Amino acid sequence: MISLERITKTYTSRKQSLTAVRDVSLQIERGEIFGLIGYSGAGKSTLLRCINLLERPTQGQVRINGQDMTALGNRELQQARKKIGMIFQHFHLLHSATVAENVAFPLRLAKVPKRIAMEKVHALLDLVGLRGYEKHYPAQLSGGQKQRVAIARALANDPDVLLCDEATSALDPDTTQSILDLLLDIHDRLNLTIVLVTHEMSVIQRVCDRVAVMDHGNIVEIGRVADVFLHPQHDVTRRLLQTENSTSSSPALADVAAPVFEVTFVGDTTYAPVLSEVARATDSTFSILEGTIGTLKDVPYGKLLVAWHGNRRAVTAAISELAARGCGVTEISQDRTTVEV
Amino acid sequence: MFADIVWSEVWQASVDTLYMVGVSTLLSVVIGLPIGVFLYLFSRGHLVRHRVLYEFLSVIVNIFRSVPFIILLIAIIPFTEWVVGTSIGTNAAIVPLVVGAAPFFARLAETALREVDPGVLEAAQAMGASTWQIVFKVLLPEAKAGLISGVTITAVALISYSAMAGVVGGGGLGDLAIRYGYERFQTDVMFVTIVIMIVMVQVMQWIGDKIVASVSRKR
Ligand SMILES: Nc1ncnc2c1ncn2[C@@H]1O[C@H](COP(=O)(O)OP(=O)(O)OP(=O)(O)O)[C@@H](O)[C@H]1O
Ligand SMILES: [Mg+2]
Repeated sequence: MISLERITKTYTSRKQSLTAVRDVSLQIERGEIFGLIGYSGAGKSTLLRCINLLERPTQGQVRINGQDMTALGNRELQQARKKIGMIFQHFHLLHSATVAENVAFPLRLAKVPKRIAMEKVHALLDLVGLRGYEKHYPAQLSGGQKQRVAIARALANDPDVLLCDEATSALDPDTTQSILDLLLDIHDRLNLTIVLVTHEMSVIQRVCDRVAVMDHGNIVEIGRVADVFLHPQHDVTRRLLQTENSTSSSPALADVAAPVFEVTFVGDTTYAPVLSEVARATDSTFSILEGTIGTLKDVPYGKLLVAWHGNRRAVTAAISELAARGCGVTEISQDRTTVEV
Repeated sequence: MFADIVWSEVWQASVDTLYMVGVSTLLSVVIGLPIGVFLYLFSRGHLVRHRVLYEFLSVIVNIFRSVPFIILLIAIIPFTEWVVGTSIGTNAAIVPLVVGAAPFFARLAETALREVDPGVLEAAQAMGASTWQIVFKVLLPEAKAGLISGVTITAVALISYSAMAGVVGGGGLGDLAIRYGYERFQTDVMFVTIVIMIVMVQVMQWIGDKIVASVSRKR
């Protein structure tokens, strides 16, 4: 659906040049919700804006539905952009226009007859839960409501793709949740492909199918959210995950007399009594040192730090049994480096 | 006091002033607004950014703005003759008024346009708007309040510029004040014309503020 091929974006000013995105290639499938995460300045927004050519890549190709965007003339590019919705952190609504006029704006650009446009506006406001707000001005709305208007506006021309640049970063946690729910809802109803930029792991966790982690203009890690979430490979990813669960400090493993493992589950195993069954079967015991159970999108997952007690043979048997039942198991040495089992 | 004032002349002068100010404000906006839009477009964003054109336009605007109006009035007499066919009278006064005020309004317009949130323009661009659609459907409507303030400032400035129109026989209140108040020592005429001009300025400012308030109440 969206294919970025070796995208590089360099900003040159008189004094210096800065490469915001460095030779990035990326395929995003139709219907996917794809997340881009990274720290500030990593180049997420720049990469996202290369998709609709708000930033023209210095090198590389952008293909959407097979169409090479970088090769289009002005007119054709404007036409192609009508099928790519975009929403922003600060909404960017027309202050001088009402809610209805804002949503109708892309239809006006596309010269849709007024009566048809108005019907569409009403349907869209229904969809985002703002029926009755037609005559309000943006200044009279809360942040969450403004983002809903922006979403309705972005959907007006029935786009195939929705680009979201920190769409929830200016909102409180509850409002963030409701906007994410809305995004999931319209994604399912309209069969949209969504590309979402954020610096919050929790946003990725709640809505994305796949995620790419960016750092200094590069994609340093990419994969299914569950994989990246449960087995982060890159330092930046781990740091992003850590800030997310920074409520408790980690236990000192040096005090634990048994070998320690990180056990992860995804899907139905999460709720099954796997650990105790395995312990009983192998005549060993375990203690949980740390852990989280949650959901990634709709999929339950668990990530536990367990110390496994028993004789060497029983522990080995238990670990292979856990792996056989579909858990991910990694041994953690005392200095917290990981050892694949 | 006031006994010797020829009120019909005061009336005629007031009408002349309003006529000159009205027509020259209108023309200054019509000419200055596009210049302001181009100054804005050439100077920022990546719509049609163009440094050289910006500097060129900017220098021209500055030249007109740095020439004192009384000198401009005389210096462009040949141009005035070419435009209205004569260099004296009310219509002849309008030409230098516009030449002086249009660049002034262009700068005010440029400033008002810069107040528009660039993010909104970007959103329009992302929706597939062309540059002209962005100018007419986003930039100008979003800058409406600032532009109207600019029109008010220009109109008020034109009241005082127009006082010098007497130099080319343009008539108006300023001319009346000089002819009677200064040349014939009739301070009462001077007094009356000043009061009328103050009232005009107040009324214009009041109207301008009302319009701005009604435009921005919605935000
Ligand atoms: N128009 C521009 N001109 C020059 N440099 C720019 C421009 N836009 C972005 N940059 C630079 O490119 C780098 C990447 O910026 P980008 O906005 O893509 O980061 P980001 O990952 O979205 O960060 P944030 O989370 O802060 O939004 C930064 O160093 C930034 O300063
Ligand atoms: Mg950003």
